[in-house]
Amino acid sequence: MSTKTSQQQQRDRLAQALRWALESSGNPAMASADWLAEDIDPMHRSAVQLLTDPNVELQKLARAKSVFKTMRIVGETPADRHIGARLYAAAIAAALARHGKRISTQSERALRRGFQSLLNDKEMPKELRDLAGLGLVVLDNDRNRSLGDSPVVPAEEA
Amino acid sequence: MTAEEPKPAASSGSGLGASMSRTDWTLVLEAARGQDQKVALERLSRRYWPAIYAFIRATGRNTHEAADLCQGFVCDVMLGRNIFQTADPKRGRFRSLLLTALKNYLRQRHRHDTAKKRAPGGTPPPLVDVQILETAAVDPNQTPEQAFAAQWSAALIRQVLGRVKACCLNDGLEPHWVVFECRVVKPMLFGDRPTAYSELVDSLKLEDAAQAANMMVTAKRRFAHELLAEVAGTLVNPAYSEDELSTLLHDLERSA
Repeated sequence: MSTKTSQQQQRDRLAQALRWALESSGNPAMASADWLAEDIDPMHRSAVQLLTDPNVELQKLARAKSVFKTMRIVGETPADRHIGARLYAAAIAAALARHGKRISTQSERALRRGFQSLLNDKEMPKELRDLAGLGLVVLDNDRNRSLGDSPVVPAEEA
Repeated sequence: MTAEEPKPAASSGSGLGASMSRTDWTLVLEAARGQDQKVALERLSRRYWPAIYAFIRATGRNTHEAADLCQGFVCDVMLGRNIFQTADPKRGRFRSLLLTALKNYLRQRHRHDTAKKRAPGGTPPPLVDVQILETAAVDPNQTPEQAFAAQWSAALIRQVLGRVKACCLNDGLEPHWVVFECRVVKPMLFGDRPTAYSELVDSLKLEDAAQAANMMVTAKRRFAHELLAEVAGTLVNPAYSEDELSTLLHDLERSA
């Protein structure tokens, strides 16, 4: 296996910096979200990749939830704050669907509202909207279990 | 301006770093006939020294020959003949203009490889230390054009970083710059390990790592915006800046 020389590594890093400008010129808000995701896990080049990876660790989802929650509040533009809110919901949904854990102290009602908004948002990537659907199913199952009923649909099949 | 629109580059309105924000073509025109001709010529020369040098080294010349030819090109052609007097922005990319002039110069030098007195009337810019150039320069697997593209990109990025830093400091975003520098710039330029967020949160007295990460992204976005603007400055039609950036990226990745 060939290893890269320091000059090649340097060129890779320069190329990466040029790529940021191209990424940002199309959809600056999503580019910012992708950079935050890549900062959490350099193996994932986008927020969608990170949040929809079935093998992503719970700890990383918790960090994603935290950075997107902040983005939702301090994002520079309304578009940033909008994307931040959607990805915040997606991170919580991913933790529920993949790990069966709640990484938020929000009420069930607030979570449902967040997941439903993501599910209905046609401008968001389908993978994320599916994740919101899974999150809603898990919430339904939890509620039914607490009422003594059997789950409506197993999360994996939803 | 609606809140949806990206913020304009701070340098464009603040006056800070005005001399740094002049585009290549503006500098070229100043070098050709402006009042600050000498300053503009020296700035252009300094800015593109590494790319010129890398191209010459990649043609097979040794360190000293390359440094000598580089000095010759800057003094004889850029300063002495002032190639920019005949430069026409309508003809396209500044990068292409410089590269063509350099190739012509090397062909001429090859034909008439006799010593010449240099730089009638012009003061050569101080030579960059050859050892410093060597650290950034030549990979034997690169063509001269690829070496030029790599150094051109490096110069572009260094310029933009300088401007973003100045803008951040001017706009009261020094902590944003510090996080960006420690997490992104130093790893990118020097291969350093990114500073841990916990360390940055402590030293900058931030709320948490999430805040620091978002500050990093704010500065990174400014960098991306300024980089596109800088590339646009090397073109006649700024609308083609993404095209030019893609070409540059292609050249760089081809050489990787």
